[in-house]
Amino acid sequence: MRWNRLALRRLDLSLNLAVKPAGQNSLNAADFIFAGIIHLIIILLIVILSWWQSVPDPEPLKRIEVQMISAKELAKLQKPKPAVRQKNKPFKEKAQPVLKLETKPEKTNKAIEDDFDPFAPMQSQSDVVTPKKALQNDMVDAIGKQLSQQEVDRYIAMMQQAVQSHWKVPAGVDSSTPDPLVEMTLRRDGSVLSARITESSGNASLDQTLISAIYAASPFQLPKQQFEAFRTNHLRFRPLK
Amino acid sequence: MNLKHYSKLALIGLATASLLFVGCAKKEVVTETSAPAPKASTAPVKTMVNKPTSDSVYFAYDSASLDGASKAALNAHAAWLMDHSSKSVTVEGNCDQRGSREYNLALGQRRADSVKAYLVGQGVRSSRIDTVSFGEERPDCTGSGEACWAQNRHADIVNR
Amino acid sequence: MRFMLLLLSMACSTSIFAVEFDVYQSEYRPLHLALVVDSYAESQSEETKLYRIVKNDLISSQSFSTLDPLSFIADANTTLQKIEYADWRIIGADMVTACLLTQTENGWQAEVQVHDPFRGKHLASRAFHGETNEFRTLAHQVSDFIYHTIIGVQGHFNSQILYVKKRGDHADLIYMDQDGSNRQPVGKNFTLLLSPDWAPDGRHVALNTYVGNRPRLETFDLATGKRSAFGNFKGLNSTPEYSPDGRFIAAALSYTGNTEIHIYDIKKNVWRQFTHHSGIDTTPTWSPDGAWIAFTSNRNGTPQIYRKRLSGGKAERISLKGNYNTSPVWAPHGDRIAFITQKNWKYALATVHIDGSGLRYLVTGQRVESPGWSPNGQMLLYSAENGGARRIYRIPAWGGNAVAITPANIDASDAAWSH
Repeated sequence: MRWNRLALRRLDLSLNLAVKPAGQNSLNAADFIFAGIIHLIIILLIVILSWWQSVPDPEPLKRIEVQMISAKELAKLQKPKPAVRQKNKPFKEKAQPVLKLETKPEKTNKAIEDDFDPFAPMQSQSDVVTPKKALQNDMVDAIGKQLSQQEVDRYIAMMQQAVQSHWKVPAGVDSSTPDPLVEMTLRRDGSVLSARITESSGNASLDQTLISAIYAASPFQLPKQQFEAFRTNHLRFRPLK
Repeated sequence: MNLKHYSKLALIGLATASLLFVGCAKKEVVTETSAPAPKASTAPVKTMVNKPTSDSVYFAYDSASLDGASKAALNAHAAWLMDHSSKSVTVEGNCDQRGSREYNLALGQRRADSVKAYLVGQGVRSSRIDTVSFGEERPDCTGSGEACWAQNRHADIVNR
Repeated sequence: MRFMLLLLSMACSTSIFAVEFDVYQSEYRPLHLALVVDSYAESQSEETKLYRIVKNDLISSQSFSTLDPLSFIADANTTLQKIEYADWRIIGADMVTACLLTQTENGWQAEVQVHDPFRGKHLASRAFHGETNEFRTLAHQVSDFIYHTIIGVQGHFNSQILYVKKRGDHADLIYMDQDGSNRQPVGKNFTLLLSPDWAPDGRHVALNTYVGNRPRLETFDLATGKRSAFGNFKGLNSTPEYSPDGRFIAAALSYTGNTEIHIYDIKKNVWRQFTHHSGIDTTPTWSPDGAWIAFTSNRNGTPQIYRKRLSGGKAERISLKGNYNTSPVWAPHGDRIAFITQKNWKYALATVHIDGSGLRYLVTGQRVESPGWSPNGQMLLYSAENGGARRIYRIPAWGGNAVAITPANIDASDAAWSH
């Protein structure tokens, strides 16, 4: 009975502790820790997924190790062969040269003056190939199904062409004018959610032609499933100067 | 009396004829290698020709250099000026119509200056020679093509 | 709170996945402008006049095309009071300008509004007043306002042009408004008249005239008609150019034995030599900040364009292509120089950046000469031969079409646009 009461009291206390922070209005350490943990989880997810994607394909089924051998070695190899005429022996003999070859490089490396053969095989190291992919593509893969770089480029080209053909510049622009940058966010159907000048050209009228061009070019053609990759776009406009 | 009369007529006829030749010579001054102009002082009293036959020298494109023919013509002018110390002249520089007019003003000036410098080098006092450029503003020939342009690239020596 | 943080962190992580690309300008295209002008019954002719002047101004810039008023759904009054943007979007107007003209005691008032129908935004409004005899000026002010509001660059419609008209052996100096109206001779019967240049004050003009067959430099006061010679040296006196602050005039003189650029201090009445080279140095032009002079020089064999600091130093060559580059004129905004260049046996009007890059050919033709900028750097004037007589043409500095601004039956050259 007593024991039960103690347990209950402990439970009570812990509950109180749990309730109290929620009652307070200001942030405390627990909230920050919670946020930090969420961030860490997401970052970890990203890292794991990217590593998973970037790991090279496993070794091919057949692996043939090829090494160059000098005339000397070949001669040595050929010597035991004519001696063997029985069927069983070639297998054994073959095994031996392989072993010999594997050990010989070490020997030739050690022998310096007497046995020095400039054409003696050097120990080769197989190349480790890591395929390079754009970070963008990795992210795209991370989010949804795989979209090849060519397809991404194609959609970008279509967007570029659409905006370019609708961009009306009515007058000359001073050479000192910086090239403006616009951030464009799209909806799933390709229509423009927002078009915002992030770097102005300094000429409000010119800035306006960019926005007009973007709206006139919409709706854009976007892939249905990989839409996320094209949600946000940064357009650098290059007026003639 | 008759003989005198006829000889006068003959002389006048000769003079008129030589005038015609003077006109032709002016246009062909570039091709003639040596056109020694008669000196005023040695000519007979009634002779019309007392000045150098050519008042113009011609230039190559975008150039103010004097060629042999030009120098020969200018020698004659220098000689005449030395003989007539009271006379002053203006050298007028001209250009063909190609290129920008402002640049051609300067080029024409250079041509005029080039002629003046040569005459001064021959002993004529600098103060007796003025220079002016008309650039391409006063072309002798208003057509196009090298024949016309060549005519316009000239400097004239004009009595003041 | 925690949920917000979660969302924020997710948003942050997704925004780094952004597509980036360039958008290049391939051409220039005029904006479709709906120009609505209205007035009260008794001002019908002025209303038409205003409409014509403004329309002509804006179209001449080649940055605008105007929509046919017959296609307008709404009239000016309604537009001025309560504009319906949809009405204008339907007819394809990129911009809408409504102007109401009313008669005042001693003149006119024009109320102007500029709207962007696609953004559904009112851009600007202003009221202009002018006296009866200043009607055209009022109209040009309206044009300037519309141009500036929509293009973001100062308008050039309230300006004048001078040019030389040759009649046989004589030359006249002709003055006109930039749209060709108000044409009148302000100087008559000159022997030879070349390269007029406007002073920044808009009242004085520097001229190269020939008096008694001798060239000299004169300033001419348009207000009083008075002339006074300021450069009368032996040899050549040519190509005068006012400095941007109006205190100096640069010119090409040859009295030193060789054509060089000299600078005249108007107030102090003194000259100083600017170039010192045995080659021909001529056609000076000032940078808008007054720190440089660009000029033509054949110091390296062929005529090319150089620039040199007023404070001294070596001349730098700007024209990098070809064997014949002359008559530089510095753009009012400073980044380009217009000049005449030889192109395939003909002469062309071209512009280039100060460092020699971005060469842009504008026009090639017979005897293309004497470039001159509009005060806002958007247009260029030049003269070209057209079947015997020369005409003055106007072309946008960024491309577009050349338009003649003098009649075909007179010989016109040496155009200069006021500041």
